[in-house]
Amino acid sequence: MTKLHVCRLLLASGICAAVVHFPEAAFAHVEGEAVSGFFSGLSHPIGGWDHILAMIAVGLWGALLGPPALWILPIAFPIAMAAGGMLGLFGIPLPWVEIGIAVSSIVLGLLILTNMRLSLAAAIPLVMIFALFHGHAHGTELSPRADAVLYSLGFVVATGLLHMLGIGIGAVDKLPMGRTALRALGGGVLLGGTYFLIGAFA
Amino acid sequence: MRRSAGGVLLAVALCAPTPSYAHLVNSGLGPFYDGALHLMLTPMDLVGLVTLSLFASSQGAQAGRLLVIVTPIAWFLAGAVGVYSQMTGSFAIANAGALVLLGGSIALGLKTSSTVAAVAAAVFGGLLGFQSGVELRAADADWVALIGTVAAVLTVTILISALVISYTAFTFQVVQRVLGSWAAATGLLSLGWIVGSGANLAG
Repeated sequence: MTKLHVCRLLLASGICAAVVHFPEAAFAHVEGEAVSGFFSGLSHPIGGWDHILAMIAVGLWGALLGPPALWILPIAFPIAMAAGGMLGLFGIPLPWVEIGIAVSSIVLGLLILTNMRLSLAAAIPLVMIFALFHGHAHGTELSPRADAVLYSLGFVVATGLLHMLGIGIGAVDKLPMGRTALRALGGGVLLGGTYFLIGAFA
Repeated sequence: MRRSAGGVLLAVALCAPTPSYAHLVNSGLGPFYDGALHLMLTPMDLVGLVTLSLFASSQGAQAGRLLVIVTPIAWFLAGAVGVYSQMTGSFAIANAGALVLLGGSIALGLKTSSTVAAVAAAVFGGLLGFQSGVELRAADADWVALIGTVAAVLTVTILISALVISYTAFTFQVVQRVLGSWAAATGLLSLGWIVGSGANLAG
């Protein structure tokens, strides 16, 4: 991968971040309900740093593992997350959700920090289990609304964009000292996860 | 016994009533364009159609051709039933279920025959078309608006099938699978919403 490719990926990551943080109010007068439904969904997954950290970490880890994990993990995560969300919406309880969310950041951070290369057969279920916790937490927070499809779509797209942001940042792996920087980011994710775990027990 | 119970549950689920999305946006260009715009502004219809088109087109050129022929015809016929009959009903759960099935198949990269793709196009296209017809009737729109909607359906299916069949690059296949996973996830969440809280999927 050339520097040009890395620059393009970083630019794409910037665009992802900008879209995820797009101001909802700007669309207040254009087909208001539908557009606000989409952007409400889009903004939901970025409502908590514990979620943001884990979703970006999935992209970072995928970038570290390389293909096919690079694109299979971001495919598996939203589906499992939606399944978790569905359980939450059904009112089916899942134990230790907050702990599971914090542990997801800790484990992903540790995997990145130690540059651990799990097989795809192990990586996919691991990420999907984490996604279930994240989805369930979101599902229990969601209230009935008229624009379910748009809201769901926005929600899923935001998750996908956070993964892409992680993959884009992970492109630094190809630069000199990039691997060190990436592992340092993993350490940051680990620290963040630890902070959230302490919060979960507090 | 279990099959019967399953059948009853499925029938109840398919007929679960939800309010219709009953207004047409006025394009200012007449009922034909109002109908065409209706598709573009009805998320369930558009997301469903895009997912169906991605699924069928990813099965190859033959399936893509069948999609372009079968979907608009099924949409028109079922839409006409929706416009001219007094039948009502929403298939919100079936729609969300179809999103999960079709999106999941795309995400997993499953391959099937062009016949299966054509059947999916007929069934899901008909389902969406019927709902669209009911909505058009509720908005006092006539067959011209329905023709406009079908023209938009034809345009979307042609564009997507042309894209999917022409671009065989690996990156584009990955993009398709990611989009499939997003569609499946949207369907799952929508299912949770409909069953869990009785929300309206049509909007």
